[in-house]
Amino acid sequence: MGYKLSSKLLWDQVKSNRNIYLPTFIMGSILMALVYIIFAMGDMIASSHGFVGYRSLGTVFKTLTYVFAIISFAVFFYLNAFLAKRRSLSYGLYGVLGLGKRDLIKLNFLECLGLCFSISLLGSILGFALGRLAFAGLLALTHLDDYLKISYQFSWAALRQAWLLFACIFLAIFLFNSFTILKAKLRDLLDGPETGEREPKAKWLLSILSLGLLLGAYYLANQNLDPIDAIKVFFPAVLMVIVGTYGVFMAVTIFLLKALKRNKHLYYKPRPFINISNLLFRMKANAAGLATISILFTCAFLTFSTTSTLYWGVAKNIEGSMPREMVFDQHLNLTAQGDKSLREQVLDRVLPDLPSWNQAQAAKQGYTLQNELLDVLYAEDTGMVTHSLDVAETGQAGQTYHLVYRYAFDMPGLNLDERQAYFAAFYGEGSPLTKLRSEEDSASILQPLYSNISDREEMQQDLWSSMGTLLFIGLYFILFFLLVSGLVVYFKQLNEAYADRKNFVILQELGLDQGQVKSTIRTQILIMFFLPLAFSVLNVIASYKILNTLLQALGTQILDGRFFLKMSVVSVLVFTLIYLLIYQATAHVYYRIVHREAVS
Amino acid sequence: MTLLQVQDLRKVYKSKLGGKDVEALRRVNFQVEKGEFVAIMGDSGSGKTTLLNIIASLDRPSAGKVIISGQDLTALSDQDLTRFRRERLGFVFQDFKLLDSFNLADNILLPLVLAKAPLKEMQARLQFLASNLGLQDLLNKYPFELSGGEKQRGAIARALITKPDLVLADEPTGQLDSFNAQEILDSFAAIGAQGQTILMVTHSAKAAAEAGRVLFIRDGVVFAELVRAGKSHLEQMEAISQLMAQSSRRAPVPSHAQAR
Repeated sequence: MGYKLSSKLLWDQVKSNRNIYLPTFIMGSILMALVYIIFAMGDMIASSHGFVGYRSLGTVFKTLTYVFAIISFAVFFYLNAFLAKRRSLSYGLYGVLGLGKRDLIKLNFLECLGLCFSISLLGSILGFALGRLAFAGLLALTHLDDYLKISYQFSWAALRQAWLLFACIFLAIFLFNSFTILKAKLRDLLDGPETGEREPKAKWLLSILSLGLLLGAYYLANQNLDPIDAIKVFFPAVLMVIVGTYGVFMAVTIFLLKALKRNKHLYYKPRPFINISNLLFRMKANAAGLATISILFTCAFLTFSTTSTLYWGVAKNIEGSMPREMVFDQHLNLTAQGDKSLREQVLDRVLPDLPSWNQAQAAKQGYTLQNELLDVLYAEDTGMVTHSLDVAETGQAGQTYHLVYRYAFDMPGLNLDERQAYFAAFYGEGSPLTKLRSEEDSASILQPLYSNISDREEMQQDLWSSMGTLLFIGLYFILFFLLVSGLVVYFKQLNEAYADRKNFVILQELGLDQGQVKSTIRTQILIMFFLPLAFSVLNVIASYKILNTLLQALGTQILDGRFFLKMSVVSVLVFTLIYLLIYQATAHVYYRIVHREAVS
Repeated sequence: MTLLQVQDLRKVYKSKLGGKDVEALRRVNFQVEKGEFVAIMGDSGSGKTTLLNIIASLDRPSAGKVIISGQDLTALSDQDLTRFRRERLGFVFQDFKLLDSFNLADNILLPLVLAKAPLKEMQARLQFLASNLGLQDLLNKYPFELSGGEKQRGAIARALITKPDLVLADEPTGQLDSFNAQEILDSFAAIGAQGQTILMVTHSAKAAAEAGRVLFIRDGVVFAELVRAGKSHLEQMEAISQLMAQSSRRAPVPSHAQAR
């Protein structure tokens, strides 16, 4: 078979299946663009200079590239499976017309090559256009523009890597398809499988079990929990929700549909009659996929709301935990004396001349010293500083407490390096700290532990970088996931449209009018699209309390308590909107496939 | 009373990208009285399926009228046409066209469901037809579990459930072996005897011989008619075969000539 004939056949195949090829092409290109961007950013950041803390950001991105690579493989194989169904019909026909398996393999090779090439082309263009945008987004979120002295540069190396990845993916797909072609029997290609199935049976045990797990998880998560218990409860609850979701989709839906069917007054009306029967048959094939989408949706919502809350709550509100620009903490163990307040005991004994020494230092170097603050705080055994000591707190006599002596101040007009250099003197010769360390308190009332200095700007940047990266990655994944799931549901519905076409034509010939056809289709697709969505919203609502507790523990109490709620609501709304658009497109295509005029 | 009137019916399929138009029906005129069992016979390409589709309101003619029970189909909108089809016509197809996601009972009830009939009426009609056609034990089965004859009997029940003015059958025995085919023809004869008006399209002389009257169609024109009257089935079959043999000896009528 010559090149000219094969390309004509291929073009014909693509044109008649453009419902499938076009979304594949677009999705594939977007995927390539996303992959390129991750590759490029990883390279750029890893090789950047300037901010010491942020080479690990590069590592994070490098790891992400592997993750995306694997996901790309999975997505394309999945898309290939959808294409395969339509392809096998065409190939069956070609086989009857006299094309041998070798020719079919050649045809498939052309197809894979064409797809790979066109996707790489559009993907590269998209990547080029969007790369700058993505990079700017990352910088904006992490506030690294002050520190990373790099500007966006289009990376050929990253593009080549992306090309290579996709070439490998399509090669793998081609080999897989070739193997399938070699194994296939011509008869099967033409006919396709006979769906001789009875109505699925109601599974009592699974229904009750899964509902129980789900409701149990919800109950657990909504008790009044403190953070430690919350962590203990969280992971088992998640597991229960996952298993419960699968069970509900696989069993409870069928159970409900059968119950609806038994209600004859409801069932024997045009739309329920068709929809309930159809759904009963569809559910069996689709349950696992819908459950997976529902769970992934839940993850997407929760990722967005938690990472954005962390970002805004922790990163932006550092003033709560660091009241001054420069903070010196000395950790110590103090045995309470019972007569004086703990606070007094600490301030009497620990570094009494530190402030005056510091003032002298500042004056010597000509720096302005402002807003000095002395405080004594509780610390947990882990070293985590919790809160200020009450002035009157005396503690129990003889009891040892892990406390923190805090001396903080502002030094306006200095940059990070200058402040670092200034603080270095605290550990140098002549500093009161050396006296503290060399002194032994014979009464062993006071035992110095360790000290550290914190720079608020540095901490801020640190948090911005980590939380910002988290948020960025979260958003990236969410965007990607939304596209993939929308595509998957679209393709599933498309396959069903082709399968249902025969039935819909019969119905129309028997007297189902166009308005009824449209509303029947709408109902069916609506349920398929929005059942997972509704379920995941339910999960989001049920998990709100426990996640809020956990987030508060991580330090977001500064925030308006509604922030997390607002973010959850926002994410649900945005997703629903985008999903609605995909749903609209799907309903339109479904109707076109199933419409009698199109077939007759 | 005249149930079906076909007046000067013409159907031309326009070709899209140049090439000739196809005149599937040139000028067809005939009538069917209430209670008649009429067969339309012709080879493939004669136009019989096109004719049936137009009468069934599944397609619109290029010219001419179809009047069923006094209603001119060509005057109806698509919506009204669909309703008419749903309420007044019954169909039996060559490939049964049962829905595989419904059991036989639901398949038979389908037209009534689409017509939004009350539940009690539905159940009564189902029981009546099921016992008439010997389907009582098969009602809960799915199409893939049934034989061709059983499926077609189910399709006949479906066609009858709305008490249609006219039953249209398109090669009802086409996909059946001779035993099942005979069963179906017996069913048709039985419902015909009960007063149901039937119009059957077929290329089988055996099937056509069941009818009270046979119309012969060729190249888009009805060119002959054979009334069964008192003949036996075998005699009618012979008469049909003779007529077909005779007509095939004549030269084919060119497409631009109008049959007067």
